[in-house]
Amino acid sequence: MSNPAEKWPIIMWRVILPLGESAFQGRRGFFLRCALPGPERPTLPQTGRLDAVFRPLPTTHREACILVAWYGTAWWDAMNKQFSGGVLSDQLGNGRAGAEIVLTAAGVSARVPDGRSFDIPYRECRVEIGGYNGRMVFCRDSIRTLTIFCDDRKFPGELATASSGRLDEQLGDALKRVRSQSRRGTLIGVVSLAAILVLIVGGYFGVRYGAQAAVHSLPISVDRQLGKTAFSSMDLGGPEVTDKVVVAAIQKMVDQLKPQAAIEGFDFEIHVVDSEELNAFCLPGGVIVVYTGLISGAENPDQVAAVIGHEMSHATLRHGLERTSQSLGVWAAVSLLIGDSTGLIAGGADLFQVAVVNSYSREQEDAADKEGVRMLHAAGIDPSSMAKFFAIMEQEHGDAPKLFAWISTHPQHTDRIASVTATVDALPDRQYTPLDIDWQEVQSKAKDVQKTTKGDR
Amino acid sequence: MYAEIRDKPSFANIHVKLQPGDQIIAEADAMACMSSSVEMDTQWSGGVVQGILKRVFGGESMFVNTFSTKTGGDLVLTQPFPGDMQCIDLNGNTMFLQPGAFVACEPGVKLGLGWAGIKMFIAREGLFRLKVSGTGRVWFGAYGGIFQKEIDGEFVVDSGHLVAYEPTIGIRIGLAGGIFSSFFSGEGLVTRVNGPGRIYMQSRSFDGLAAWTNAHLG
Amino acid sequence: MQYEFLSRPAMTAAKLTLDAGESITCEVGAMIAMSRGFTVETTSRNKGGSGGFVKGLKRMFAGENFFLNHFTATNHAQSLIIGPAMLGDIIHYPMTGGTLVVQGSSWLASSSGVEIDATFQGIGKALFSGEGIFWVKCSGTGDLMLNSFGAIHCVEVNGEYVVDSGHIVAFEDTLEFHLGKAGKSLIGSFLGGEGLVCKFSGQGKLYFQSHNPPSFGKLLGPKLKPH
Repeated sequence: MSNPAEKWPIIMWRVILPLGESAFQGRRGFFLRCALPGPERPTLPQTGRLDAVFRPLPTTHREACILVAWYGTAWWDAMNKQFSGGVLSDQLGNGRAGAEIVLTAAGVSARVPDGRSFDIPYRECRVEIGGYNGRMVFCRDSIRTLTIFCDDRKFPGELATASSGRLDEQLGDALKRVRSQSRRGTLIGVVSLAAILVLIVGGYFGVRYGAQAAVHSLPISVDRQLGKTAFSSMDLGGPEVTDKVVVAAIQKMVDQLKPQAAIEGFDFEIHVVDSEELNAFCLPGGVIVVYTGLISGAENPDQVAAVIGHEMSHATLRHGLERTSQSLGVWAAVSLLIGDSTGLIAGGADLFQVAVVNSYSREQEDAADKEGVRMLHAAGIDPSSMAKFFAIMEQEHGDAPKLFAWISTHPQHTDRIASVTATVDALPDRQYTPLDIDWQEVQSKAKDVQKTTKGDR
Repeated sequence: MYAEIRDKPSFANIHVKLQPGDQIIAEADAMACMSSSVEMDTQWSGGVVQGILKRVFGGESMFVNTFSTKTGGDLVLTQPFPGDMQCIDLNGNTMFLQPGAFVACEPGVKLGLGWAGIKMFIAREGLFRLKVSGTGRVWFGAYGGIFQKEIDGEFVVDSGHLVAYEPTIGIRIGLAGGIFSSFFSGEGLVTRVNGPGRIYMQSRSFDGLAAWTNAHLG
Repeated sequence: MQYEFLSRPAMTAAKLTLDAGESITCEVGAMIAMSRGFTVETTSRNKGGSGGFVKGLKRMFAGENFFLNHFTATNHAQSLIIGPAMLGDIIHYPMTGGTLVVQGSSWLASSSGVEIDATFQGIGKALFSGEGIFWVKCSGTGDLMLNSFGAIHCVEVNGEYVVDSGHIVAFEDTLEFHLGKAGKSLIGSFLGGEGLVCKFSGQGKLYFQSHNPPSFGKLLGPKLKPH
C-alpha cells in the first residue's frame, strides 16, 4: 500500500491538523471511541503544538484515517455543543437573561428565550473567571457592553477547543489566577483552623499551668488578705481561748517551727478555739486555728507540733491560693494574668468558709506532709510523732462522725502513714529535743476552759 | 395575573388579583386574606427531601401553597417581619436568595436549594441559599428597605445585609479594615462582592434588631 | 373632636384636639403627649376572650383586666397625642349607631359616645391558634381609633371573605364569621402554615392589617436571650 502521507498535501499534516491539536490534550477518550479493531492500534501522541511539527507522519492508511477522524470529530463536538448560561446586556429588558450558549467557528453565541442572539467573536473576546463558585467563565466583548457567562464544568475546555487556541493564553492566565486564589483561600482556612485548635488546646493547658505559676508569683500579702477575710467571716465553732498557758504553749511550738518555714519571715497568727472538735487548720497567709479538742487528744506536745507543722506547710506552700484558683478556674487565671487579685480574694474568702474546701488535694497533702516533716526535723522536733499521731487518730477516732474532725478533713490511708514514716527514715540522724512544755498543765488548762464553756452553754 | 406590592417600604405586601387559570405559589403562612373563591393547595416544597432540607437549612418553610381560582378573586400575601419587598422578572436567568427572603413566585419559576458554603455561613447569610430560576416573576422581601446595585468590580456589603444576588457575583469574606480597625469600628467581617451582576441589599438586619433588643433586656 | 395623623404610615400617631368638656377614652399607655388642660381617670374593664400565650413572645394574659384612661378636656382646644406601642398605622372609624367588633390589641381610643364591651367572646375558639386574642365590641356614636401592626386595608365584603386570624383588625357585626380550614384538608391547612382561618360572610366592612405580631414574635423570640 502506498504511503497515505504522500497522497495528502503536507500542509494537512504539518499545519491544519496541528492547529487544533493543543486544544485536544486530554481527548484520549475519543480515540477509544473511534479506534478500529485490529492488532496494530497506533497511539496518538499527546504533545504540545511544537511537537506536532516534528512528529512522524502517519505511515499506514489506518493511522491516517484515525488521525483525521479523531481531530475532526473532536473539533465538530466542540463546535456544536450547547451550554446553558446567561447574558448580561443593556439591550435586554432587565439587563440580563438566561441563554443557550453555542460555540461556533467564529465566536461565542448566546441565544436568549425571546429568540435574540448575541455573539462575541473569538478575536474580540476577553475571558475572565469568577462568579459564585469561582469557576464561572465570562466572555466579554472588547467594549465591555456584552457579557456571556457559563458555569458548566466543561465549558473552559470546549471554549479552548473551539477557539482553536486563540483564547488559550487568557484562559490559562485566568485559571491560574483562580487556582492560586482558591489555594490561598484553602491555605488561610487550614491555617486559621489550626490556629484555633492550638489556641484552644494551648489555652487550656496554659491556663492550668499558668495559673499555678501565677499564683506563686503573687505577693504573700494576697494570701494574708485572703486568710484574714475568711477568718473574720468564719464561724469558728466556739469561743476563742485566751488562757495564757494554752496560748503560750502553741505559740512556742510555732516559734520553734517558724524559722524553718519555706518562706522566710512568714508571719503566723495563732488562735486557739475552744471546741471539743479535734481539729486544727491554717488559712492562707498564716492564720492558724487550733481547737482545744486537739490539745486534749494529743499524747504529747510533739504530736501537736507535728500537726501545726503540717498546717504551716500548707500556708508556706500556698496551697490555699492554688486551691482557690483551681476552683475559680479560668476566671482566676484571667484575673491573675491581668493582675487584678481583688476578685480572687473575695471569691476565695467565700470558698474558705466552707469546710469542704478546707480539704486540699492529695498531692498537696503529701507535699504538706513532707514539708512538715522537714520543718520538724530542722527544728529539732521528732518528726515520727506525725506518723504516730496519724495512727492514734485513725485508731481512736477513725469513726469520728464530727464534720470538723481533723481526721475527716485529712483522710488517712495506711500508705500515707507509710510514706511519712519512709520520709522520716530517709532523714539524716540528729538529736531531737522534746518540746519544753508542761503538757499536762496545758491539757488541764484546756480541759478547764472546755468545762467553763460547757457550763456557760 | 395582576400583582402589586403595596405599602412599601415598611409593611410591604402583595395584592394579587387572580383570574381563572392564574396560579401563584407562596411560602407557608404568607396569606393574610383572600376571597373565598381562591383555593389554597399545600405541597412539599420541591419534594419531601428538599422540603425538609429547606426548612432545616434554608430557613424556608417545608411547604408551599399554590393559590388558584375558578371564578377569580383577590389575595393578599405578606411576610412575617415588617419591611420591604421586591419583584424580579426572571427570563431564564438565576438568582440566589438568602434564607427567609422568598415570598412568592409564578409557576414558571423553579425553586431549588443550593449549598452556600462556609463562607456565607460566616457572613451570616446562612449555610444554604435558595436558587430561583426559570421564567416568571419572583417576589422576595427582607426586614428593612431593599435597594439594588449593579456591580462591576469590587464592592463591600456588611454581613447580614445581602438579600439576593446573581450567580455571576463572586463573594469573599474579609475584615472591614485591618485587624484592629475591624474590631473597634464595630464592623468586623464584611462581604466583598465582585461583579459583574446585580445585588439586592437590605437597610436593616434582623440580627441587628435581636442584638439591640437583647442589649436592653434584663 | 378633631383628629390628625402624624408620621404615616409606619409610625403613625394621632393628634386629637378636644374642646372643653369633651372626653376620650384611650388604652392605657397610649398617651404620648398632652396639654395641661386634661383630667385623667383610670378605670378597668374585664377582658373576655381566651387566655393563652402570645406565641414567640411568651407572655400570658388570661383573665387580665383591660385598663382604660379617660381624658377630659377642661379647657378650649386641648391637644392630646396618642399612639400604640408597636410600629404601624392608625385609622379613624366613624361610629354611626352600628357595631364594630375590634381585635383587642387594635383598639386604641374612642370618644365618649362609644360604648366598649371587652367581654365579647367573639371567636372564642381562637384558642386553637393560642394567640390570646380578645375582642372589644364598640357600639354607639362617635369616633373610634384603630391601630395595626402593618398597613390597614379595608375590604367591603359582599359574599364571603377569608382572613388569617392574626390579621383581623375590626369588622362590622353585620358580618358572620366562623373558623375554617384554609386549604382543602385540615392537615394541609396546618402544614401550609395558615392553620385555621376566619371566614366572613354577609355584607359589611372588614379591616385587616398586612402583618401580624405573632409571626414576627415567633421569628424574633428565639433570638432573644432568656430573661
